[in-house]
Amino acid sequence: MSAFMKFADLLLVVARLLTILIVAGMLFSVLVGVFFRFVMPISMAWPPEAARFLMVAVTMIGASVAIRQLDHVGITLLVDVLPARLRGAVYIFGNIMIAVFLVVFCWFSWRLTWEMGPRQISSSLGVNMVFAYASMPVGSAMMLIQIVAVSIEGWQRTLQKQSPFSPPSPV
Amino acid sequence: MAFAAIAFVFLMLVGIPIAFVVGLVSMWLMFDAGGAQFLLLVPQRVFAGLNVFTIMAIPFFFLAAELMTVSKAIEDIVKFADAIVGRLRGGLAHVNVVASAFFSTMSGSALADIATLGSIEIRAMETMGYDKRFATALTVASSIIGAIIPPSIILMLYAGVAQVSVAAIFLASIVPGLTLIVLLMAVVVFMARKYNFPRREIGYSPREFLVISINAALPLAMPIIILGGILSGIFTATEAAAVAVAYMLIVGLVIKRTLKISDIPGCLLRAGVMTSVIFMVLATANVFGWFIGIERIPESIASSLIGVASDPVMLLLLIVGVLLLVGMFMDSGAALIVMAPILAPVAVSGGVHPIHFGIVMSLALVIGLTTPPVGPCLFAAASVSKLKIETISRAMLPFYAVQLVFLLILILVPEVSLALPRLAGFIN
Repeated sequence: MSAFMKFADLLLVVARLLTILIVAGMLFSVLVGVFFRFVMPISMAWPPEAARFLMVAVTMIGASVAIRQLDHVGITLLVDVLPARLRGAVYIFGNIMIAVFLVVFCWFSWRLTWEMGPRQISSSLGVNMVFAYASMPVGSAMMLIQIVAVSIEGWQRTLQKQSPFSPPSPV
Repeated sequence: MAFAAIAFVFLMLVGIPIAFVVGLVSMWLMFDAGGAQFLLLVPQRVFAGLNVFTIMAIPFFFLAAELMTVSKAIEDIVKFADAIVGRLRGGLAHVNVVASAFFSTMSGSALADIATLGSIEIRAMETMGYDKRFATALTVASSIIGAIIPPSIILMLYAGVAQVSVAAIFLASIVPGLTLIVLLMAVVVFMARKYNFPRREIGYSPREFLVISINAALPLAMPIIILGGILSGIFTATEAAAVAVAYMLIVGLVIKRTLKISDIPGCLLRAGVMTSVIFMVLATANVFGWFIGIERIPESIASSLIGVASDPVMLLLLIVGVLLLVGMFMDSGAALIVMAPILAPVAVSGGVHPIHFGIVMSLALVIGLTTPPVGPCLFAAASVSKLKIETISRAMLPFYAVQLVFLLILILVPEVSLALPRLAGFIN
């Protein structure tokens, strides 16, 4: 258990680092595009495309950080009135449903990446679409790990009579 | 379809985040329609929903707002607002509205307004002897301005989802935004007379006023770059937002030196994660959107509604009623992403202009940010002011009335939204 949590924590650090680098890369690409259009009269086709692919990546990779930080909020109006144990069980059920989605998504985005990707070439960068698609299976696998991690943490909060749906309240 | 609808409601009510609820339901619909082979379409639709250049303005605006918060530009803006309206009766209350208006020309989100300005405003008003409940309610009410005045995140989402021009909808939101500011300041004037609010007794000397204005000029130039760039056609919205970030970096790191290099990774991370939360909804909703299209859902809703609501105003009132209800429970951005693809075609087929509908829809959903039971702005204000949600929402009552009147004006007079983009030739 604790070995798994260490692994999830490590993956969280990696995801945070990647998110920072990807947002910076996105900004850089767009600014390069602007620079070359105004300062040097060379129009470049690759910056918008690179930035778009990075945007897909930041959504997928950043989502695993968001899951771990409980930034994805749902309607907890109803579950908040449930008794503690039942609320914990509902929380785990919800996470299992999310995990089902992520497993299916991971598998089919993996197939998309390796079955379609090598046969498609992106229009401006001229790269293999494997690079563009790969963030989906990678990101959803990282989300899956973090869903398991928040489930463990949420159940621990349940045992301490706290809501698993919200971050731990400072004691 | 019936099973999917029930599953949708059930999964929402057990507290699953909307992005995954929509993902699960659309995945089931895909599987139901064509078996495992159709599930290959899911990642393709997710990729297509995110691989869009126009929505990239959103992460950059999140980033610009983060940089502005960290570089303490907020205080310069509050001081500038105080220099302009602080001498009026109820001065700080006016400052609250005007500072929110300035801030919203840079951030585009109501929640960011409360998180950054809220604590400063409420504390300042409390020390000057204002009722804390009024101070908090006004802060919540004025935060809405942030979601209306360009650059607005929710309007940008609408432009992306309903495929209208960002420039046109930004232009359309200027008059409504100014109207809301005037309405809120009118409430303050009325309350200030009734309760004899304090005002700032000492005026600034012309020299002091000049210094304050110069300090505020640097951050306030940002919206001019953004709007000027977009409306003149020099930049796309995304490029303008990226340039705004670059401008904030130069101002913060080089000119004012209030920003440290070590602050930047944190800003990038928060902007990235915030983007990811909203874009996950966009991604899964794009899978759902495929069904809306092939099942011709907007058409069937439209044909059943036309019988009940024959003219555009009736149709809008009906839709807004639903949206106000939805907005009370769901986050405005997520609700917009899920519902705009269904409702915009319905409204357009009923004779409502898509730009007009975007403004009305966004405002109707954003009002929900300030109402119980699920109101993120209300919750943020409660944690900043340490008041109870019930107390704040009771103090909000006059402002709820103002919001509804404002919404009615927008519905009944389309020209409030449409005149400016029409004059500029963005729509005909």
